[in-house]
Amino acid sequence: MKRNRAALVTSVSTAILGAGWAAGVVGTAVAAQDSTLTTTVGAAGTQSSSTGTATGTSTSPSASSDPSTSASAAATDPAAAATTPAAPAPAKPSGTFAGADVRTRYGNYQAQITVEAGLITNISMLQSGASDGTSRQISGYALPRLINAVLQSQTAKVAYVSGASYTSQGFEVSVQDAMAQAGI
Amino acid sequence: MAVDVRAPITTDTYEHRAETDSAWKDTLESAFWLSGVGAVSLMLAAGAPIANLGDALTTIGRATGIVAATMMMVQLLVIARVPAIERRLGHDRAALLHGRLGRIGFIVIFVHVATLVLGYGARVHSGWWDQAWSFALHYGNEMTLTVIGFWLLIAIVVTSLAAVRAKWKYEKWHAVHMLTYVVIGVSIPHQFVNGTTFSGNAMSATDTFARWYWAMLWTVSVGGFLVYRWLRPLWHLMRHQITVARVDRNSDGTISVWMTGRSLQRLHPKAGQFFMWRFLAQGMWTEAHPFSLSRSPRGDVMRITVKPVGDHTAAIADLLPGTKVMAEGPLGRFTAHHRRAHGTVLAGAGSGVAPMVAILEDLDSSGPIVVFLRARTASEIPHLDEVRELAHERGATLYLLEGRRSKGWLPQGLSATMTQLAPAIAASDVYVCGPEAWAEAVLDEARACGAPKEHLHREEFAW
Repeated sequence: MKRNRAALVTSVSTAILGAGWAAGVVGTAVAAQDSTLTTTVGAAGTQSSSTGTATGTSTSPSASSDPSTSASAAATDPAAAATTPAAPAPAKPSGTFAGADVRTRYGNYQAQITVEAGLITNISMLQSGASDGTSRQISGYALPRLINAVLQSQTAKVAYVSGASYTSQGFEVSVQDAMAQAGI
Repeated sequence: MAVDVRAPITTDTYEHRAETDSAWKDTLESAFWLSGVGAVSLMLAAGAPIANLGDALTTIGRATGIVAATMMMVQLLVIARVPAIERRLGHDRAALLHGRLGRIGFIVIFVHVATLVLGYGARVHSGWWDQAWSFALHYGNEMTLTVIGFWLLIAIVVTSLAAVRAKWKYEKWHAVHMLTYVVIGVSIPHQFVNGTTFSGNAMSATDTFARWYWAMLWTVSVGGFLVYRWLRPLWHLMRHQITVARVDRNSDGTISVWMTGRSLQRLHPKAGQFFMWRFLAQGMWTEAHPFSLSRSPRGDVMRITVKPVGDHTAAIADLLPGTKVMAEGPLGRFTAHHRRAHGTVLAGAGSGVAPMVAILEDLDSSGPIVVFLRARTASEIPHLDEVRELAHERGATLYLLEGRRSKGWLPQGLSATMTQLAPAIAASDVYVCGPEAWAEAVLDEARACGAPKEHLHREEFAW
C-alpha cells in the first residue's frame, strides 16, 4: 500500500477508535447520571403518596429543583409507593419498600427491602438484570454478596463487587432509594 | 534503449491500469481493515472497563472475539471468488491471504476463549475449569453450540497439521477443511446473543447501530460467499450449458478437453485465466479443479489442456462427450490485461504451456514477444504446432528449452542470460507458469536482467 494511503487509513482508524472510546467514557458517565436521576425520581414519587414527605425532600434536594421530572415520575412509577404502609412514628419505620427501577447497560435492577423497626431484615430483587448468560452469571454471583453486605452494614454504600460494576451500581442506587422511602 | 515512438500512448494506458488496479487493491484492503476497526470501536463505545484483572481480561476477550470474527468474514470474501476481488487481488494472493488469516485467526480465537474463561472466572471467583463448563452448559443454546464449534475447530486444526505431516491428498484435506464452515455457522448466533457489543441489551442508539452494523457485515460476507461460490456456478450451468464435446489424448501425453456451450463469450474469460472445473460425471462431481483455458471461447468452443498427474486428472481422459460441466470463474490475473510494459516474455513448462498458448493468441505484434517453452524433449510440449504457428503470426521468437533439469532456468548444459535471448527483457512483461522451482528460477533471472517487480506475472495454483 502506498505510504500516503497507509497514513490515511491509519489516521481514520485512530479517529474511529478514539470516537468509540470517547463514546464509551461518555456513555458510562451518562449511565451513572441517569441512574442518579432515576433515584431522585423514585424518591420524589414517594412524596405524592406517602407521609414521609420531609425525609424524602431532605434526602433528595435535586428533586425539588426539578419539578417536571418528579411530576412525570409520579405518573410512571406508582409501584414504588404501592406497598408502602404509613410510617406514623417519628422513628423506627417498618414495612416493605420497593426501590427505584434502575436501568443499566446489563439490564434493570430493582431491590425491595423489608424493614422492621428501622432495621433492614430482608432484601429481595424485583428485577435482577438482563437475562443473557453473561448477565445472569455476574448478577448471580454479585447480588447475594451485595445483599449480605447491606444487611450487615445497614447502609447502601457497600463496596463494589469487582468485575460486576454495573450490577453493584444498579443495586446500590435502588437500595438507596428504597431506604430513602423507608426514612432510614 | 532506443525511444519507441509508439510507446508513450501504450505505456500511459498500462500505467493508468496499474494505478487503477493498485488503488482498487488498497481500497479493498482498507475496507477489510476499517470494518474491523469499526467493530472494535463500537465495542469501546459499549464500555470497556479495565479497572481490575477480571474486567481487563474480559475486555481483551471481547476485542479478540470481534477481531477473529472480522478475520473470518474477510476469509469468506477473499475465497468467495468475487470477480472484483479476483481481478484486483489475484486468485493466488487471495488464497494466500485466506490461509494466513486462518492461521492467525485460530490463535486469536484461542486468546478470545482463554481470556474470557479466565476473565469471567476472576469476576465471579469460579475456577477456570468451572467457568469453562459454565459457558458450555449455562449460557444458552447459542453458547453451547459455539463451544462445540470451538472443539470442532481444534479437531480440524490438529487433523490439518497431521495431514500436512502425513502428506494427505489435497481432496482428503479439503474435505476436513470444509468443516470450518460449520464452525463459522455455529459461532454467529452467540455473537448476537452473548456478545455484549451486539446483543442490544442496553437498547441505546449505539447498541442498535452496532447490531445492524454487525448483521450487515455478516450478510455481505456470507451472502457474497453463497452467491459467488454456489449460485453463480449453478447459474452458469443453466445458462451456458457447458458440455464436454471431445477429449483428445495428445502425442505429448497431455489431454485436451474441448467443451461447447451457449454464448460462452459471455463468460468473458481473458486469455490466461482459469476456471475451477467440476465435471458432473460419476466419481468426479465432488471435486473442482483449476485448469487454464488453452484456447479462449471462439464460436462457442473452448479448450483446456490437462497433464495427467493424479487420479482426477487421469480420469479426465475417460470423460464421455455430453458430460455436463460446472465452471467457476474466470479466475486469475494472469492476462494480457495486466501488462505493464511494451514487450512480452512468455515462459511455460509442463501444463503451464496451456495458458501461454492462449496469451500468445491474445497478444498483438506491437511489441517484441519472446516465448520460452521448457521440456525434457520437444515431443513433450503440448500444442507445439499451434505455438509455432502463432509465434510466426505474431512475429514472436520461440525458444524450446530442451534437456534435463538443472538448478537454473535453462536445462543442463545450456548457459545464457535472459538478456541475450530476450534483449527487451528490461522493458517486457514476464509471464511464468510451471513447476514452482523452475518458475522461481525464471523470475530470478528476469529480475537479474533488469525486469522490474511489477512486470513479473506468475500463476500458481497455490492450494
